[in-house]
Order: sequence, then structure tokens, then C-alpha cells
Amino acid sequence: MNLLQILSFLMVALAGTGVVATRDPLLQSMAASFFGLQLSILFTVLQAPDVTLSEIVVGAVAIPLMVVLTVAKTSAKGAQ
Amino acid sequence: MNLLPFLVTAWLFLAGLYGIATSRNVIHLVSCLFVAQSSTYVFLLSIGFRRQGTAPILDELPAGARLVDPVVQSLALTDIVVGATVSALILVFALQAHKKSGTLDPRRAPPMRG
Amino acid sequence: MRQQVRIILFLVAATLFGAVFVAAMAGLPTFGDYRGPYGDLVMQTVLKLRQAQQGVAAVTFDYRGFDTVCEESILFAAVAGAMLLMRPQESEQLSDASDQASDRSLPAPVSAVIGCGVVMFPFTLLLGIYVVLHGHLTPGGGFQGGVLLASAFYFVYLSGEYADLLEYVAGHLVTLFKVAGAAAFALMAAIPTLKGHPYMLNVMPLGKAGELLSAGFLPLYNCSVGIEVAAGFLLLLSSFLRQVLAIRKRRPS
Repeated sequence: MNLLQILSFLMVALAGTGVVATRDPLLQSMAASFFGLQLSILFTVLQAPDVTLSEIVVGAVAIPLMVVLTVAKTSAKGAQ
Repeated sequence: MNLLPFLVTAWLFLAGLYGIATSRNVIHLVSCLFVAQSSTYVFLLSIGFRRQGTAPILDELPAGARLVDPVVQSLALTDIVVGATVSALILVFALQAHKKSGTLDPRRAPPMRG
Repeated sequence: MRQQVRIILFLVAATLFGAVFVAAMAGLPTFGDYRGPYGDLVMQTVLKLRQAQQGVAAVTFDYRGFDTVCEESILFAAVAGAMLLMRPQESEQLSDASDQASDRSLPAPVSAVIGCGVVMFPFTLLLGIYVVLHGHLTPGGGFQGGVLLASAFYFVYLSGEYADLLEYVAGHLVTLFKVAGAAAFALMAAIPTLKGHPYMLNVMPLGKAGELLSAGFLPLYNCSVGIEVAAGFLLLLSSFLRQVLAIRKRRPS
């Protein structure tokens, strides 16, 4: 294993722990977005460009966006 | 050091499960599920990786180049698609349950009836 | 108290699982020593048998294509279920879209933001179409390109207003696209059975590897999946937005 691989594996583990440890869903969606980005870097390092592309669009954009919208609907008084 | 990918896999899976087990908010639970699920992507891609291998795309590659496994990459791709839509569905369930019961805490929500 | 019991139970189970899991993993070939044979066999045959140069796309839509049909049905069913649940309920009504924050006033759209949106929207659309069409040549494909196409419409919402986005998803056109994409995929996959071949056999003329029209069914599958995914994610996004911005509890009258 070279340094880049070790580093990206460790960053993924760290970012994943951060997502679980963040208890506020709104802040957590930002952490999840960062986690998705770290995952896509790891996948690039592991020579998987197809998986990287879908991880970027899904993990870093689509899921956090849906989480933010659900938080908005359930927490804003006026939105109910 | 060669165990690191598998340790990260186990760590992500268990950390996600811990979040799910202790969660007091369904939206928080969905993000933890996302973490637990990504352990499978890490695992699949680590299995198919080959030292000094390149991506399995044959454009202008010399014959006999070392390639990583395309099968596990295809599996991971399927995994991501299904995971995303199922997460969306859980979020919708959480949203509608919140309208009915006014809480996002899975322990306080009243039992569901058909 | 119950929380503590819960955590202790989890920790015991997690330690057991983790130990067994890592012990099992230690028996696998070490990281970086993939031994095959399936990946190697695929990559040796894919150029000759299928005139495809993108290994992942060939595996997804050809070597294990049946799996992908099932996966697309999961996607279709999940989006359809989400849409069904997010209709306005009996106790709710559709109101005009409005900002919900009470503690701040809504700033007027700045022309620079609108300009960014105007620039980004067509380019993202173009990129999405490119990724879908070249899925069998370069990294990418129907799914990745489809989500990109849908995210192009996020720019409309981000730079303009909800009403602008609504114009694109009004009526049944997007739903039609989603259904047509899913149906085209399943029906195209069934074409070989008419001639007595197995389901999803690649019977189209294969062409020459590296050209846009090559690898038989692969570009067609990519296009149909791209349309389905783009329409599905656009519908998901717009119904989440509608929940936040327009659907309200019906006031007792």
C-alpha cells in the first residue's frame, strides 16, 4: 500500500465516524456530504472511475440535499 | 498494514450500526445507514484492487496491462443506486410519520397500524 | 437506563462481530493481490466478443445484465412509492410557494446568482448527455449521467425560484419519461427472446470498438436508463421541494 491509499482509507474512516458522531441532522448532512467526497477520492485511488462518478452525484449531492429538505419540512413551523 | 482496508470496512459498518442503535432521530438514522452501507463499497473495491493496476477501460492500453476487477465495480455501482433510492424512501416515510405523530424519535412514535 | 443497556448489548455484539469479521478477512488474498478469475476473463473477452472497451459498462449491461434489470425495477418502485406517499393528503392543501423562515427576510435574487445559474444549467445538461452517451466508451453511463441531468435542474431552483422549476415538471411529461425509460429498457432486453435467444443476449450489430455506435445494445441501454434515472430523480427532488414549499395543513374552515 502506498501513502496515498493509506491516507484516503484513514480519511474515509475518520469522516464516517464524524457523520455518526454528529447528532444534529442539519449539520450531519454537511458531514455526510464531506464523507461522500472522501469516499469518491478513495474510489479514484482504487481505480474505479465509474463508482467515483456515481458516488459524487449520489453521496455528495443527492442524499444530503434530500436530508436537508426533510429537515426543513419537519422543523420549520411554517412548513407544516 | 495490508489489513487496513478490511479494518476500515469493519469500522464503518460498526460505526454506522452504533449510530442506528442509539439514534433518537429518523433523519440521523438515514445518514448512519448511509455510512454503514458505504462499508460494502469500500469492501468490494478493496477486494478487486490490484497493485499498480489501472481502471478496466481498454482505450489505448498496452496489451497485458494490469487491470483491476470490473465485476466488483459493477456490483458497487448497483449498490449505490439502490442505496440512494431506498434512503429517499425512508426519508419520505419519516416525513409522513412526523406529520401524523409530530415526532421524529423512533422510540416515541406510536406503533403503526395498517 | 434502557439506553445504557442498549449500548452495552450493542458493544458486546459489535466486538464479537468485529473479531470474527476481521479474522475471516485475514484469510482473503491480501489487499492488491486480486486473483480473479472472473474480472480477468471479462477483460480478455470483452473486446473480441462485444466490441466494448469499457469493462464496467459491459459487466453492468451485458455479463450480468439481468441483475441490472432488477436493480432498475427497484429504483422505479422506490421512486414511484415516494411519489405516491408525497401527494397532498386529505388533510392538506396546496398553497402558493413561500419562504418559511420567520426570523429573516428573503433577499431578492442577485443578478450574479441568476447569471451563474443561466451558465451552469445548459453546461450541466450537456455534461449529463455526454456522460450518458459515452457510457460504453469512458467512465460514466446511464445512472451517473441521469443524476447529473437531474441535478442540472437544481440550478434552476437555486438561481431562480421554485415556480421556474415547477414549469419543467408540470403535467405528466416527466412521469412519462420515467415510465418510458424503464419500459424501453425492459422491452429492449426482451427483444432477443423473440428469436428464441436468452433474455438480454446482445444481438445488435456490434460495430467497431471505440466508436459511438458500438458494443450492440450498450448505448441504447445507457440512454434508456439515463432517461429513467434523470426523470426519477427530478421527480423526487421536485416532490421534496413541494412538501417543503407548497403543501400545508388544511386550515379548519
